[in-house]
Amino acid sequence: MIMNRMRSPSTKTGGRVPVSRRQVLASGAAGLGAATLGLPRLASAQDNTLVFAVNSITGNFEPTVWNGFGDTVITMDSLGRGLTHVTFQSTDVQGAVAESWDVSEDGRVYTFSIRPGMTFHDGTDVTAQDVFRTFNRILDPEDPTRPAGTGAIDNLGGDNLQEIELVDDMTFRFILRDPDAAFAARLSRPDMVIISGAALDEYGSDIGPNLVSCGPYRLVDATPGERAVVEAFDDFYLGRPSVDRIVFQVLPDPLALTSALVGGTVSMSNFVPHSNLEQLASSGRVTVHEPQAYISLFLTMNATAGPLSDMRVRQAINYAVDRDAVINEAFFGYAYQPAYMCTAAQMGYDPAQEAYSTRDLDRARQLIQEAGAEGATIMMHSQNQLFWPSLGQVVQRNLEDIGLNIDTQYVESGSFFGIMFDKTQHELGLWQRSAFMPDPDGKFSPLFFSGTLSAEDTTAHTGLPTQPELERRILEALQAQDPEVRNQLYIDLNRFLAEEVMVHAMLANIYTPVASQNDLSGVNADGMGTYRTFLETVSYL
Amino acid sequence: MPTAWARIGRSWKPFRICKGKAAVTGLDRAASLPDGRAGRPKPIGLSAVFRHLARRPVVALSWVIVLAVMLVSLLAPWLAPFDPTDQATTDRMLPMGSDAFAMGTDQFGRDQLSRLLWGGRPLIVISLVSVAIAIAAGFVIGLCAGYLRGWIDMVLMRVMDVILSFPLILFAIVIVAALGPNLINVIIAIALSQIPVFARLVRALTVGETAKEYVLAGKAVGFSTPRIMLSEIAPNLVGPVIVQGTSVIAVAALYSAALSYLGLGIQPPEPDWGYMVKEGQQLLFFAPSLALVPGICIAVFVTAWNFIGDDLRDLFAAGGETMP
Repeated sequence: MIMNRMRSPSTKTGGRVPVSRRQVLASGAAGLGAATLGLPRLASAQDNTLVFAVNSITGNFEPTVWNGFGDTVITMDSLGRGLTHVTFQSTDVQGAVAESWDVSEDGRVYTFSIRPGMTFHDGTDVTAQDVFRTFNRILDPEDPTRPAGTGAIDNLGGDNLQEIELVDDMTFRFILRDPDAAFAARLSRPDMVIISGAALDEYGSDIGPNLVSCGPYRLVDATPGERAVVEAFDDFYLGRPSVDRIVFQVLPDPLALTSALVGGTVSMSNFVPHSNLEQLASSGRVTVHEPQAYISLFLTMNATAGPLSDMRVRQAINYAVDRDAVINEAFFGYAYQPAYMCTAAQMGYDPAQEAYSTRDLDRARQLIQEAGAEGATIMMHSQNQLFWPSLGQVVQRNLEDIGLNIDTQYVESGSFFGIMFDKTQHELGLWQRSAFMPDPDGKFSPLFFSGTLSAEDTTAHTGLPTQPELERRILEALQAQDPEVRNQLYIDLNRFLAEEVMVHAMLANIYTPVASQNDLSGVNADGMGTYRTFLETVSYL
Repeated sequence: MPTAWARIGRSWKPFRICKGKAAVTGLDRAASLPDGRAGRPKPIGLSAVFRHLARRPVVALSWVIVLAVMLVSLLAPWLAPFDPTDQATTDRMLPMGSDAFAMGTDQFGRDQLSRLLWGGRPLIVISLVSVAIAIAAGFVIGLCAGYLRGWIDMVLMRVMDVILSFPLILFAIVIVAALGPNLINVIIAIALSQIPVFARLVRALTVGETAKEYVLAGKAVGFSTPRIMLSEIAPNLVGPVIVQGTSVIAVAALYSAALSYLGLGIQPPEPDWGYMVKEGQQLLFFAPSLALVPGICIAVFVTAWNFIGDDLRDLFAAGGETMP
């Protein structure tokens, strides 16, 4: 959806008269020229090149190890394809490397037929043998091509995946312990792209810098910290992409990125700061897209930490948060009121559940009083980049309004996740869940099931008496095959979490802002809004 | 004045000991004479300072700026019209010159003037305290290395070399990232990164002083090593170290702002010029003052300290001739 609701500056800026926007843009573009001089060339239709700004490139495109959004999601979606594909413009699961698949009556056996005539970037044919090797390195700790530190098995359903089976050259089978209605969707994740067996023979576990898959673009060059360059793959199964060459350019500074978009040196990006969207939209050169929101932001609460072990304190915190302030002050209006875990684009969304995320200061103060938690000091952690510090300041103010003392620490991402996954350190934390697939289970199993890092060490709620019932409900929703039944089960699951568990106070539903030059068409903003970046549909007008 | 016998050339001669009077400062070079005839440095009157500053208006202005910033920061609790952390949703993003908000408000509705008045405090505290710590530690390390020499010198200076081998800002970032972002850890990080600057300076000066007659005389009369180091040599090093310190304050202030800008300094919502630049940067297109004003404050403060440091260094190099 293209953003067409232009907000007047007076409503967004509290009456501020912009200080010569054109002058600022012009001088900003000139002043920040140095920051963008590193760009290889202007993005242009003439040489059919597209420059996509990302926050980082490490040059390691190992799909099953997280190397940041630039490598593991954005570039990966150009380089690779999994057995299935979800466009996010629709939540339907389509075939990609798999032409079709069958599910057994008991929902436990998935048999995939490999698409005939499909080739990898190295020219070898895609066969079921390649698929077997791709998944075996995820599952088998003894596989010599297995990368160190991979946790991709969790995204396949963890222990629920019982076995993989190579049926014949063009048929491959997964056997599950229990039915999993989200299983086909899981195979569309960027960490499930199929890798050339010949390339695995050549590079082994060091396939990352030399990834050979079957996506719409093939890797040409990557310079860590600077850029990755890909070129159109002639034999892509959906046809050769329209744009010949894409440069994934590292441009982490939000101001330099905004200037580069206005100046035309960057074609598109989904790292644009929310604060600059209005300026970009009014530049006349850039289209700001408003995709569907799949990302939920929340405040995680450690159910074993001091006053947070009291359900009333957790509920009070939930009632204390002013979502309007979150949406307007941290996201400049570009976010949405949450209705617990599921967004409007997902199954399990019920607008009536916005009531769980509505501020009620009196009730919050009463709950704090009943719990005897007035004046309690609670530590809150947040990442120190992007919108997180703004979000943290709003939440801190809200929680102090109900008589809590909040000690906030803003730390870099590595430290943040170290703290978040350590229940002896973590009390409150600001976090998000995207899941890279539209199926709602991405927001439940990985966060709430016993044995997952999040459930054991972040919210540490697995010792609560509600845990058996919670797991039963998650499994029931996961195993239901009828979409309408699943939808209702997830609505009920959300209600149970909000009323009986409350270890996540929802803050907002957001999308990552997407901006592209006006001379581009076919931008899949819905995918890019959740970082999934499918550029094979993009072309110059 | 005590007298001792010291062997000079082939014969023993009486030697008058000048205890701590050989201050080799540019303001009184004569005091470095080994017999101590010049006595204590001649005191410099306020009128001489004013005459000096009158001839150097940029330096005078720099002192005014530095002192004014310090004074305003000190009096911020009384000068600031609002609590700098108070958020008011209804007063968000008001422009400069708004009623009750002379400098406007930020995205949380916080008064920008109050935040500016308070925001200089961390910068001043961090830069002054970290440099003081660096001077103290660097002084001890340099003095020991320069006087004791041998393996102590080698070990201490190699440790300093290791610290110097890191880019200083990277070194500070690593320390803050490891210890956690707060005022004390930022001070520790900047102080640690600056210790080698003073240690090397003090060591070089100490090596030079150790060969002078007043030190030899001290040894001859049996002064203990600590006494020679602390009572005889150390006083002669204070001048150049202080001059160096003023220059390093500017560097420390810049580091402090840089660490805050990177989110490794004072944690929001507490006001800090460096972090205010970072927060304002994302709003630069329609509220440039939110980033530019604190940025200008940092630039002016650091530049002023640089001018002051340069002036003191010139004075020292000229031996005080420019100071009437």
